[in-house]
Amino acid sequence: MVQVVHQTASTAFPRPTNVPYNDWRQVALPAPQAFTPTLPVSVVVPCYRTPAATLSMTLAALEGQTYPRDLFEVVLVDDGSEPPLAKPRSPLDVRVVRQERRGFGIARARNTGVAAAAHGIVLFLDGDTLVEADWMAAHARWHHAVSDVLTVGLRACVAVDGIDAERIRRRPGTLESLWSGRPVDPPDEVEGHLIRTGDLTSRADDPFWVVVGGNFGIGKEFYGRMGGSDESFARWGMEEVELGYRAYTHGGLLAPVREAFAWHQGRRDEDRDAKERSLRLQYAKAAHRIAHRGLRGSRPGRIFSVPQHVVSVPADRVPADRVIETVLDVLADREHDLVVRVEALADHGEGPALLRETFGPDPRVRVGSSPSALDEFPVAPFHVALPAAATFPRDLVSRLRAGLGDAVTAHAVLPDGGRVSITRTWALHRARRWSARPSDFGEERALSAAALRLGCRSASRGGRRRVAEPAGYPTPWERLLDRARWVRGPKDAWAFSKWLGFRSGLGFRSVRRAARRRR
Amino acid sequence: MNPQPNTVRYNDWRQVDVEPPEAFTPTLPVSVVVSYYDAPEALALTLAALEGQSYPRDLFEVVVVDDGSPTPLAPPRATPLDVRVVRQEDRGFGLARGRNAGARAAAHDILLFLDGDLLAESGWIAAHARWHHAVSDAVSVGFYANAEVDGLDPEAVRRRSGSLEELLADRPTEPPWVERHMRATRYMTSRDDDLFRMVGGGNCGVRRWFYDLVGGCDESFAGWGGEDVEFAYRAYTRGGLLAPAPDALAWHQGLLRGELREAKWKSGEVQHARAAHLIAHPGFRCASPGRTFTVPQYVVSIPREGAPAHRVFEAAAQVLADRVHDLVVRVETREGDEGSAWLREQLGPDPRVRVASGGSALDEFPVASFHVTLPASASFPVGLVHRLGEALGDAVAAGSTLPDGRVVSITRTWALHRARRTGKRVADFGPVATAPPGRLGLSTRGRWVADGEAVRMNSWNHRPGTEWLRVEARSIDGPRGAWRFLKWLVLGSLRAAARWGRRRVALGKRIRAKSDA
Repeated sequence: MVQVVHQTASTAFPRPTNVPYNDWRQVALPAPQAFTPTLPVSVVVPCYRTPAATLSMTLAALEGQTYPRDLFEVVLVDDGSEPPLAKPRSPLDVRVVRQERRGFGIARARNTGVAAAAHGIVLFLDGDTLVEADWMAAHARWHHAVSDVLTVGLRACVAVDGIDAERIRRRPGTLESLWSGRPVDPPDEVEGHLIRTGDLTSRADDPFWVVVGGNFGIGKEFYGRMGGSDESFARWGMEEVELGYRAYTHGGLLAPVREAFAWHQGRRDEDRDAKERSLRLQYAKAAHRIAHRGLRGSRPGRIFSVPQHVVSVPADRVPADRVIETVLDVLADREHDLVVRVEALADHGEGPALLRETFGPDPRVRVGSSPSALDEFPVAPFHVALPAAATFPRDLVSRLRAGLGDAVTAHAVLPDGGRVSITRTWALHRARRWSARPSDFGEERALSAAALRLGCRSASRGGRRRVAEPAGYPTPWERLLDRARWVRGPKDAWAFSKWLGFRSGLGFRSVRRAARRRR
Repeated sequence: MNPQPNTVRYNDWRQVDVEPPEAFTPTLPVSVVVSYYDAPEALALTLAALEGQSYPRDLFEVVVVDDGSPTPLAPPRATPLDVRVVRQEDRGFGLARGRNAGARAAAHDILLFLDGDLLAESGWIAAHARWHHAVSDAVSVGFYANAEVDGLDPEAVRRRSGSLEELLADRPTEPPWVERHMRATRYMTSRDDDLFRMVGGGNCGVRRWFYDLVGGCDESFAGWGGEDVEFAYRAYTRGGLLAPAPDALAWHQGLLRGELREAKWKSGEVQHARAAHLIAHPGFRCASPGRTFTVPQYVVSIPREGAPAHRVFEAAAQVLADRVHDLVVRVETREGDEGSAWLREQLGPDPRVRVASGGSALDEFPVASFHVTLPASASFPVGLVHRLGEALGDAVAAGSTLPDGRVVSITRTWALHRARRTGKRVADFGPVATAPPGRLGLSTRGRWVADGEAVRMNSWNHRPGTEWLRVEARSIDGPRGAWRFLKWLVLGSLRAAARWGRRRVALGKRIRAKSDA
């Protein structure tokens, strides 16, 4: 059931998004002509050794904004240039903030700029980028209505030889008309993503790929809540995509703003080789931070900084043995890219100590940490809830993902009434902001427990710890054959039969159990 | 004659040239470290038993470590022994901490550990010390028995005519539990890889340098049980010799029945869970696949050897996907080279991978059970580590030579340590199995294309271009290479298609159809 709640533009303050999926068309915005700016904007411009001429052109383009001049400021962040960036002469409200150079630091510079920004709407612009006259209005229109929107403008590249700030100031029409006839690199890549995702309105789970280049805007409060730019990105490339990924997973709205058009000064292929080299390293780095299969190889076994799935197993009023059994089964799942979280530990008895000793050092398990799963793993894209009493197949996570399809949440009800569910994290965040349910933001699917091969552990058989064979160790049958091979005489035969008698209890039980599971 | 590191095969202590008990003349001084907590009567009996040692009294000292008893232990006055008391503050159960404190305070090079509630037979020190006169990296393993000692007073222990066994003969006793395991392993000479289970921390001996090398007891054990086996595991994996000393019999004061046993068992369960992370032996890891432990069972080293980064990554990813999950991959990189930086970004944050520049795997993982070396030029199926483990059997090492002459090998860590200490080869400590590469599914993956490195790295990323196809094609060196390329292309694309696209879509359709029905 999709419950469509239309956003009203009449509210005085921007509110969090409540549209389903990323369907920004459902946000009621005033038409560009009818839009009256009321909220102030900070433009954050990171600079490193930006030539004065380049910067003056950028500022000249900002001077021509249709947005009221008293409603925006420009924060130039100097990423430790030598000599330091002097405050340029400009009729605008321009400030210069300087940070020391610690290697390539555009992410850090953006955070510095946001910290210095005076206003609630922050637009990021690169120091070598010229903007069309309605650029700011196009971005800000969104931020007047929605508080957690990330607006993404487009950017083309053009060589600007022979054009100076004065010409930009005095141009009669658009910037584009200024360089008619020059070769232009259009934003092919972003356009490609926009076409693929129906301008980001489809249910594709990777709209964040459009966040590239320095032309995007975000609310200051939302920027801070999702942790700002990741300062560990200390090379060129990918930090914007990662930011976009987090904004998306935190339940933000990604809005493509075609009218917010910008021009990069200089063709795209300038030092392309160095950029490609840097990008390769950044892809590798981003694979750990962006939990999307497009960046991660398909082979199981690797562990990433941000897991794809968080499986929460509540441990209250359940014997520790059973919780251990369930966690072991989840860890053995064919989907390796997951973290198990044991929640709601009892604060007495040996259970918690046993769980901590058993799983404490395991990097794929978190035991009894205090905040909620969503707070501990805010950007893992899928959250799974699994009662400790459930029995499930070895490919539970794959089955849940398959059952979920492109819906927002899916659940199955166990015979004992417990619920197994999988939910997209962006919907959890959005639901939390609105005190709503994730299903208010998209389709919910009810799956049958039988289709997922889910069951319940019967109470009578519970409590006994299963002694699972470690991976790579022979199965009981293999071990039997192995032993039998060594029988060379009557003495060996006697030892073998003794061993068999000793082991048979365990061996046959496990065979029976396996048979039962297969059924 | 100075004691030397052992050079025996497996744990076959019969190969050691040690004096028989009758002919043994003690020459080296010994420190006996006695752990104590709030049991003065038991300690009095223990000290009385130590007075009756056959070992020369001027060749041993006794260090009693008081683990912060409520009433601090006063140094015993009426004793002819050289006794010192070391007190440590009470920070909960501190047996492991106490043993380390005692070892630090001890004056001599041979350390014998004795619990404060154990009565040592008169030949106890001699039986332990005999080994440490001959071997420098031995852990001598004493035997325990239990006896009811109510009403026994120290004077009776001092004045007894025969052995303690005779003194305790008419009381209820329990025979040494370790005896059964000893018989099963032919007194620790079998090839079992869990001989260390039989070491009891309250009755064992070790030389100080070896104790320090192994790292002493793990002080994070803060409950009863586990710390001694864990220490023994490290000593064993570090190539130490576990030497049984049946004459080093000590009697535990009190039988292990009822409440005591229950309490110990309960604590033991939690300690067992802790020990599972530190003892890389399947007997301690009731592990289902997918768990990751503090000390891994296998360490797979992939040397760089000039291989392009993508090859190293490929091999590492393949190993990480192995059926054996309890492993760590160690990738070697160089400083200041782009491929290495890329490898560090890809694999650095993975807790199952160590990206190292220099040092040796043995130093980094001294107590993992097995060390595997895997050249980056090898092509192998998922499951190689499992197969190597099978090929090893109970041999000391197993290896397979690739067509390009490089060697894939698996070696038991104790043999590596022993070889390093004595300058011998691993093969001197037991048989080395050779496996044909075909049986392990190994082959060589064409020649390296150095200039393709940067391009191929991209293929693991977002948009695989056609460039990497070209790189792979460029490595074709003859008809065999062409065949390999074709196979790689067809199988790879089939595999990728099977893994991602259709399977999940079809599964989703099935699940939804079933749910709707």
